[in-house]
Amino acid sequence: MARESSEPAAHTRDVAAATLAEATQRPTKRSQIDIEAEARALAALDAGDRRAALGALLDAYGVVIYSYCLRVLRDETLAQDVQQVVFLEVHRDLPAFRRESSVWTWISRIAHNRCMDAATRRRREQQRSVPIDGEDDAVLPASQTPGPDHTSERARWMAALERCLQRLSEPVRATVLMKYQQGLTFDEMAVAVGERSGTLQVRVSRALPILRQCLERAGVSL
Amino acid sequence: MTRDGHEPDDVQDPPAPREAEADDAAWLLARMRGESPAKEPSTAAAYAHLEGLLVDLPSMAPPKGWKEDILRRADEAASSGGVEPVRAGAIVPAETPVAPVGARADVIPLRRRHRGWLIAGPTVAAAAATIGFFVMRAGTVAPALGVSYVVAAGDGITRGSGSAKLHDHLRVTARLADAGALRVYRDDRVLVAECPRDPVCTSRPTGKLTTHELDLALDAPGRYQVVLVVGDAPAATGRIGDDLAAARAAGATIRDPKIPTFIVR
Repeated sequence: MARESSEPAAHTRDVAAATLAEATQRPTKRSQIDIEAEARALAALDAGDRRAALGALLDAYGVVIYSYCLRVLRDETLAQDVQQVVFLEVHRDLPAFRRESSVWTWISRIAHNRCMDAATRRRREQQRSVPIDGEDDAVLPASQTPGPDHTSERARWMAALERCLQRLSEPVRATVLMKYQQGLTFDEMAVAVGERSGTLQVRVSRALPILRQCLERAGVSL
Repeated sequence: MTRDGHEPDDVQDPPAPREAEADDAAWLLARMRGESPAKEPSTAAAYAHLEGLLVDLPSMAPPKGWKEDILRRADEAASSGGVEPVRAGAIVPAETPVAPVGARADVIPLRRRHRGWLIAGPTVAAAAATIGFFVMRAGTVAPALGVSYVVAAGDGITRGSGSAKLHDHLRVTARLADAGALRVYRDDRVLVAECPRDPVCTSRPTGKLTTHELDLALDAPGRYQVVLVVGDAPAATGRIGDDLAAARAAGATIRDPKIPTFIVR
């Protein structure tokens, strides 16, 4: 089986240049691109130290990739496994990385694909077996629910939003997370996901009203 | 198959929205395309608020030692000569020992692929155990005793191996060939659940076996231990030592379900 190409195609060179320029101008709150960490990683790679390059990328993106995987897959063990697979693939393919996009876009692409692969396999296995735990989205998210001493309204909003995100299918949830959590532009997402930018815009534009309605039903006034 | 080589997905794009939502979706789409469509200020503010919440969702920390694990496995791969990482969810051969979901074996031997040896390791084992459980459930060779478990948080997230928090749900499935009972004790002195018998259990025949499914809310702090009693045993008193001794005296056997003891705080 031919090794999968994880490097964005050459025709995205202009998109990559534009999005890199845009990324440096975006508010850091939204952008996840760590320009300095990527520069350190690529410099280490050029010096022949792939391990140091991986370390720099783990420091910059390890947690955010895990968060993304966990929110998409909703399984801590599976999320950690996918996170590991993502970065081992990064480590393996770094020498072949053509630098036509940001490293962040490249890693996001790998993470998205691996999460979707894992979700698809899990869904197929569940369809062939009797599920032992059914979906129960009426229960408040225990891991995110404020404790008895934590009465912050914002914390309540966040807990409700986590719960509402679970109502979206994995691919839709992943798209929303890529847009808002990972700070990718639609053009970057198109490269990462392998779908048209317009398709992704439609997906997000339909998902947001669903989230809004869910939050309002949960008593969150937006 | 997409151009990346990963499997196609049922994208399940959101269904066509109702009228009010359709208006909002159309406005959002126009805005995403760089237009400046008009909208009621309250609605525009609501979506701005929602987008802000999405941006501000907190990061979730991986388990301790995650970075070192990845670096170690990368070092192993490098010393093995560029070994291909195993995909999460990769199917392992039937002869691989099936561990309960959430359990991690130290090493799982994997068959040789034409591209070289695959990496074996705890995280691969965890993914393999997950798939292995479902392979078992799918009706391949079913052992006389089959046990699996998950610990689920309220938001549907499955906990990692050996961890549980207050108000999580412990869900155990046990398949027994003979009469028997699945019991959960807390602090060695309280029987919190027993299958069959308790409302938190469902039991049903599965061929020649009986499948017991337990869904227990961990609503009190303490140390939770799961035991399997295979054979006829007297009714439990709640004190684990006395109960197991009585079961053995009656000719039953006590089986280790390979489910960790959970400390719930």
